[in-house]
Amino acid sequence: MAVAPGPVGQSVPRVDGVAKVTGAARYLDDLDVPGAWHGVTVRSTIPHGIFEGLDLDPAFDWSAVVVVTADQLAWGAGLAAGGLGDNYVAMIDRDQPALVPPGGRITHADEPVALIAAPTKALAAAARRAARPRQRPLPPVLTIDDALAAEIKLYGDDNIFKQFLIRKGHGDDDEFDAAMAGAAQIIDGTYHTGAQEQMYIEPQAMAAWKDGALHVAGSMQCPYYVHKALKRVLGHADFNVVQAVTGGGFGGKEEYPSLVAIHAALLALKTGRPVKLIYRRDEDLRATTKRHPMRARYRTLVDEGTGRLLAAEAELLFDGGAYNTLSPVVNSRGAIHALGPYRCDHAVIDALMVATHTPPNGAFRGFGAPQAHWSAERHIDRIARVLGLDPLAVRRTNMYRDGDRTPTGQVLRDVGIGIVLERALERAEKPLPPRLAATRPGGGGPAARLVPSRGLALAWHGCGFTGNGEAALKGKADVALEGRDVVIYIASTDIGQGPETIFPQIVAETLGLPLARVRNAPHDTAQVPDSGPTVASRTTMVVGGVAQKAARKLRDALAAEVGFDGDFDRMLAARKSAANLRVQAEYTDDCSLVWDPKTYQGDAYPAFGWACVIVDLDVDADTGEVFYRRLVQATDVGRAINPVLCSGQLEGGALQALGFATSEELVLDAQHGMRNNRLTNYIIPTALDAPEMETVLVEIPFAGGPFGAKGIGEIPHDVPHAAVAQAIERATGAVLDRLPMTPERVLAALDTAAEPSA
Amino acid sequence: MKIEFTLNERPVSVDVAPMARLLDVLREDLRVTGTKEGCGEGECGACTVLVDGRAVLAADELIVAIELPAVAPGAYQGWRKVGTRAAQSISKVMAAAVIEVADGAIATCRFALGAVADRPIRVPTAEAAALGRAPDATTAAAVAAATAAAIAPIDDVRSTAAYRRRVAGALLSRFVMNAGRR
Repeated sequence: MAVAPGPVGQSVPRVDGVAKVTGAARYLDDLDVPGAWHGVTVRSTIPHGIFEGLDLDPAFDWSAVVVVTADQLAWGAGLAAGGLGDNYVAMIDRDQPALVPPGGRITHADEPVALIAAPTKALAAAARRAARPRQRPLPPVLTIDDALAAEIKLYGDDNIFKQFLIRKGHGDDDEFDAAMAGAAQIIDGTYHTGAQEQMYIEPQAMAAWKDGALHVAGSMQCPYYVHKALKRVLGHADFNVVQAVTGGGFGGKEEYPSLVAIHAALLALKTGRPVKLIYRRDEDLRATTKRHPMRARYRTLVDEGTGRLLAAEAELLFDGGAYNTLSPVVNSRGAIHALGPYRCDHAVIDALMVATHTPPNGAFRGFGAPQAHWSAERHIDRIARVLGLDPLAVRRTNMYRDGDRTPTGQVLRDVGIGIVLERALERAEKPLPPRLAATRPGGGGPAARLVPSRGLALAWHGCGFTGNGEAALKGKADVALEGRDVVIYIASTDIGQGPETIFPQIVAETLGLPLARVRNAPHDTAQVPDSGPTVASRTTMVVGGVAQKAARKLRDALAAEVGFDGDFDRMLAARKSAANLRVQAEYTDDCSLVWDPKTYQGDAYPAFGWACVIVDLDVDADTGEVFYRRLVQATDVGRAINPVLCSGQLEGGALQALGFATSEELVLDAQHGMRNNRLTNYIIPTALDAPEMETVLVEIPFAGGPFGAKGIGEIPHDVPHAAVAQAIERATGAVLDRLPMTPERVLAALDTAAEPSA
Repeated sequence: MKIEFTLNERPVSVDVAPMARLLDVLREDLRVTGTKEGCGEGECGACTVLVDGRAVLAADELIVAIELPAVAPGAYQGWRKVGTRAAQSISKVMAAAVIEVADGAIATCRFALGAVADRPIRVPTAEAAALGRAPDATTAAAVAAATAAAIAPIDDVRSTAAYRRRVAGALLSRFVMNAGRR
């Protein structure tokens, strides 16, 4: 391919970079909102029960603050009657109340039952301490097994939010059962993953104020999710939602901000004043969504000489928490990715999302795929262990090739797994960096039992929404000529991943303009169309494609206006009008996807990304600690629009997965609330813990993406944890099938370990 | 109370409550918002303030010096913090040792542990198990056993009693072996 003349493929500096590193960027709490009061949330302290009412300490002066409980609000009356819409958070389901009303049911610890606003932060905090929910406890459902037993019903008759059953080949008939029943050896494994906190930079934060119309601004990924939820609660659409600078989302700013925005809006309406509602970090950690914990059981029939998968039965159980949120979609993605990037002609995948009386789990980078890949990769390692084969050889035997069919029956083209594997192995031949003595504070000589090792894992990841999701959503983007500049109007937000830079690159390249003359408009629902949410590895690949289409439409409109098609600036010079020229494009399925959402058969995704991760680490056999030395990843990104930003996404995602692997653990109290809800005790990796990163961008272009780009936001989080587990097993023989692999668990596994395999 | 100082190269004067946090004075009163509240406990560093070009702690947190007795020349010293993060987290277990070996035997030794009791402790029974013995695997095992018997750690959000008991012994054993290997 010839070198592109324009900005696509160039690592231009990120547009928002300088403001963020100098502190000039204004996050929500930094914004001047004159006269703003401070909001706080009063929460339940039990996992299940009846909220009987709010006790207000008579010693406190309540005249200086405003308290809101759901029974004071005119739900269902509508705007004309001076009231509101409905008391629920509009998402997939209607099961989550915006505010539990007195007499209503508490379904998890830290559930919002009342709101308070006060002129100062200190007074708001004092009022919260003086307001106590009166609660009548009921027995809770706290575990997946309790949920399945369904003695206490929390959702429907069976506590199951959603079930997906995918059948392939003889997975559909009795022959499958007969083969499994008659097999000499079934390889049977059970795998667990824990919850994980997104740990975005700033806690949940929202402001609401009225000047005629209502305005809501805050930290968020998806302005139109917030808009939809507010519209349902307010009963009208006479308001706008604006994204403030948002420092990382990872899914944690996907659906949860809807609830915070509703609360801020209710307080602003009730007080008649601007209100800022900003969670404290400890509150944020306890109350907001986490990655879904999973337990999975895999039973496979394999060829004993090669480890080839002949038939597979996978049951995945996810804990959804108290409300549906986006859990059905997490369950779906988990089910589709359940077997990893490996061919198996006869398969049954049964994925269940259950309800428990715990804070709702929600969106998190990977959306079920990091959990599913954990079981798939650990199971491949189990097959190798049981049959005495090399884990890499078993992977090579089973990995997808062009023309193979996935469990949903999708025929794969341009399969990149073999290429990323070879590229990662090549890069991993480079000598390891010297071990950094400062990796852990200590001295006096290394452990005699500090064992170096290496692990490898493979991933695939469907880009964009599943099946007909994108076609149904019809994401939109506008591109406008304003003076000599071009402005892009999209609802896709920059949460650190780079659209403020990448979208101008795509549009500037398409129009042949210098990058300096193209920019994104603020992500304000009053200005931008609904491009769909900023999720699912879809922003660059899907919305970027729509923006490119809009840019082409703009060129056509300009050509029609001036009567010729040529250089953009020549056309501009020929204009007689100085009026702005704005066009809109909409997503259309140009890939002819065929998908049946009832049977879960067909083309699940327009494109797949492929990745290989190789981790080098040391295991301290005295303490069970794992020290990372290097992480090599080779990832098929389709086309890197901005290679530095692309690598940054991959490296950040991989480090987040290493936290998932060995350090990030939710310690729960008796109410199943988070006990270690502090940055001191919930251990995310820092720069000191990060290994040296070697990132190889492999470009297998996707015809449906702008300049061939695929989605890359999630795939780096899919398998580093599995590579770590394999490395620990190779070094020590310790088999770990449960995440996180804390030093305590590693040491316990060492006690029962066989001799290391390599 | 009124205080005056130079903020980002310009003189400022501000009236503050004596107990006000510096973070709130900077953000709310002076509207300098580059300094953030990230975790609310000084852990993440988003609230860090530079005074005369250096990151500072609050006045009552400033440690200016620690005085320790000198270790004999040639003595072995070993120390470790055990946890899942290299810095900025409270350890699961800490251990330190100073060991002098003369004529193939441990002549003096001091063993200290952290995070296994309500304060940092010495482990006299483990020291006794090592004194006069060769710094070898037998002595190391005796030190581990004496350590496990001497301490009563707890389960908490950071680790378990069983893990702390075992790893404390393993680290002191390691120090004994390392002292012998020199």
